[in-house]
Amino acid sequence: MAACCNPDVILPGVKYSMSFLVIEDLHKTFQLQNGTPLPVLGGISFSVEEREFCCLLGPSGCGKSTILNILAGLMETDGGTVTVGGKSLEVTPVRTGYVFQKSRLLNWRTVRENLHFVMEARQIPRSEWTDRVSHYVKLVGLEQFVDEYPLSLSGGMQQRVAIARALVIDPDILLMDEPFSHLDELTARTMRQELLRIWREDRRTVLFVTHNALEAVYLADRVHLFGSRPATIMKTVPVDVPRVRQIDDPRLIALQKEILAALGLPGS
Amino acid sequence: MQRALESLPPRDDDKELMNRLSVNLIRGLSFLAILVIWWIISLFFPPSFIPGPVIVLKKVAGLLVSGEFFFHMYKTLLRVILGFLWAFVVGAVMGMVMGFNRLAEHFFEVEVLVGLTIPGLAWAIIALMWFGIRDFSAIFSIFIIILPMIAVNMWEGTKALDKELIEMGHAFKAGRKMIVRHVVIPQLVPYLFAATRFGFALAWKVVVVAEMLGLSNGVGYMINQSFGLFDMEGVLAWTLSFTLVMVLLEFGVVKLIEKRATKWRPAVTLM
Repeated sequence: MAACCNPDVILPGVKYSMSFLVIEDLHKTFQLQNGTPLPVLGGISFSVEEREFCCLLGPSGCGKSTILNILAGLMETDGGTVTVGGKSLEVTPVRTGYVFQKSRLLNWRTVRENLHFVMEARQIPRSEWTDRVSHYVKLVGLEQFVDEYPLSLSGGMQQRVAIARALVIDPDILLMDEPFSHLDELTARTMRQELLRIWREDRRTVLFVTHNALEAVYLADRVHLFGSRPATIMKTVPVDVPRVRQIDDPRLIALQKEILAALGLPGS
Repeated sequence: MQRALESLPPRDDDKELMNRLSVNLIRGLSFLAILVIWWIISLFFPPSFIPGPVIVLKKVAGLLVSGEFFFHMYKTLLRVILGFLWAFVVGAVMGMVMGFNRLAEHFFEVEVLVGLTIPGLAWAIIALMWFGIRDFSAIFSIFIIILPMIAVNMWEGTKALDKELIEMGHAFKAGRKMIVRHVVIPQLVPYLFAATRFGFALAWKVVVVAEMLGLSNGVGYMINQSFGLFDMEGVLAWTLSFTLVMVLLEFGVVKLIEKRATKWRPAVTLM
């Protein structure tokens, strides 16, 4: 099922026109309060295929989320190129759906109205709103709760709403920033299964940031490993385990060990 | 699909109704208790010193029938509403500017903190000396006294804005207008209501003082007139009727609007 893709490291300066998203030699430096520069991305290069589920894995604070923010147009780069579908990000901004760590819903608006908000922002014609809402709310399994306010929903359900909100604008790429890290482990497990079910039905290109190696190998077609600051891609690990996967599949456990070893963290 | 881990608490409308009834019952009892205590105390003193509730309520009825009450209440309410609205608009803008802009924050911080500590009585005297015996003196006193309080509330509200939520708006490419309307203002609503509530409570007190000191009508003037005649019945009747109107405004208007505006908050169940 998982059509796996060329896992080779992208060489700087070489055009890989077949990849959907190509990031080459990306640099980003932040300024600390006292003015000291803090280089976060030190020449990141990787690619994501169309309809691929791709994970970015690395220690906290290594700049994984920075990549998502650059793709979403929330930050500028300090060097390097990002191309999507062969076009430079600066020229043609990519349409991204963003799922954050916390759901970041508008608590004063119902589930339906939260989806309306992003559709209005993305200037989607009003005539399509009803159909889109019912489709994506059903896809994430919340059709009964479409007129509820977020605070009456559980944490897992709020994240489902956030996923529906990201998909309802029909994004070119779905960005997910540790979306299950704030949930209890049982709910997070359910949500991972659900995300894969949604992804199988929706077939969207996904870029998923996590610091959880097992989560990464369970979800992804490929995992790009980030080093510590200033980050580069240390390794790209293809996950050639057919779906539907079991979380305790020995092949996944072996890959998890391989990844932890590559990150210099021997398994406990 | 698994739903077992994510079930909603059951909704129980009957229970809610019961709760609301019992809350109102407790409120009614509390009000009754005040009347009873007042009545008991009044038994030990001559009516010219502490008149009982019955005498005072009769006096209130007399004021209502003669129409005197409506004239003076109207004058007082008008001053309060105009002073409040003026302070509300200026204070809200000032507070938000302070929340968004560092320079403005440092600049206005001094004014606001000094303003909060100046006694209301002093402002009322100053206003009367400046503007004379006019409605505007009372309106100005109310404005200048509640302005810093409204500004402080809005300042706090603006600083407490959820930046992550605003970033969410940017990530989905919402324009400035959409973010202000759907992300920023709804977060400020609770602070606007707090400011309204405190502002009104203070405005009532200020207006009475201003009217006592130098105006020729209004509830404060009437209380002062009764004081001149050493008419305790009159003082209490005016105070009581005035208080009732304030309470009605608070529960009947402000609370209702607030409830509508914050209906998205789940009801808190007290155990």
